[in-house]
Amino acid sequence: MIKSLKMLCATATLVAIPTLASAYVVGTPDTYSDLLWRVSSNVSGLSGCTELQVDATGDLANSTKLSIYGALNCPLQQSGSYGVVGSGYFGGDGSFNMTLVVGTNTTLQCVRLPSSLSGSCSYYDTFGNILGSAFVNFR
Amino acid sequence: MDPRARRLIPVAVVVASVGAVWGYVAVTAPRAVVGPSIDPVGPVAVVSEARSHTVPAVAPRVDDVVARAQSPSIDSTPFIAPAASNVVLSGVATSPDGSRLAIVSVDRSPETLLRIGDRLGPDATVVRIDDTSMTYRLAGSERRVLLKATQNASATPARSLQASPTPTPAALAGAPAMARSGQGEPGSGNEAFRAAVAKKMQGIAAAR
Repeated sequence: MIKSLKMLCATATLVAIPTLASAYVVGTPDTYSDLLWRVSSNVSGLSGCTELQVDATGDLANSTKLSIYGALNCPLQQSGSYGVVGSGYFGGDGSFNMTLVVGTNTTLQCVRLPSSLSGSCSYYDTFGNILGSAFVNFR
Repeated sequence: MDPRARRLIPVAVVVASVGAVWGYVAVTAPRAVVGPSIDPVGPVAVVSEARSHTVPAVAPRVDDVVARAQSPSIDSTPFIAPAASNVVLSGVATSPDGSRLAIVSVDRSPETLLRIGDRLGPDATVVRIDDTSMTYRLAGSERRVLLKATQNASATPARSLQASPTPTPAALAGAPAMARSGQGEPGSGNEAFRAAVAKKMQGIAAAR
């Protein structure tokens, strides 16, 4: 009888151990390809760059962060492009925030975009001076 | 029953119960990796900093662009014949069809969006819009208004002028337009991403 009870205690302990293990989850990121924002801006040198073509990679099920990378195309300006790389995250207020380095010395920052992912952004230079505003439209 | 056995029964029950409760709490407790993991000060700080530096918005919302492009672009308030000094060009935007739109204010009135061919007051017509200026025709003569930022460029320190991202031919020649991936057209992923974002935002709102 005592042996049975000891076995019961041991079994109960063994059953409890896995549920006490850490709740950390290793997720799998997804890549959202061929994303396109239309961009309009009055910043000199960037006003002709109207297409932000990027991919975004992240595990939205387990994280609030994404890597964003691609190019800012300038079809109205000698058909060139600027490479862009940066990240996006979901703020505690449920908004989407995105910061991208454009080319070598410019930053595009979009703060508190709503669920439409469209809204006002700003271009900054490497010194943090604002160069002008931009409007991004995620169709 | 053996008295010793009888004493062990409650012990076994307690151990099993504690283990089950602890495990239940561990599984159902909010996971730091799932919940919004950003310090709430962060976005607020970024937002306040960004907003304090934001130039009075000249970039129009798209729905405004579409609405104004489809509706008469001049409001019913009568203009006086605009002298060039009364006309301020705050910005130039590009509408979805690729045509240029000028963001214009006359005599400090609210800004409005104008296309080529739109009236600027009763006697003037917009004839040209480029990256840095708008030209309108008034009484047979053309007057050109420079973008406000371009007008102020000469007053800015040389340092910020050098830091502006004016593309050099070498920069553009070294950065060709993006090749087609062959998988989908640009924008083909927007629907899926929008749906994923909406679902994520709902999750964040529910967790708040």
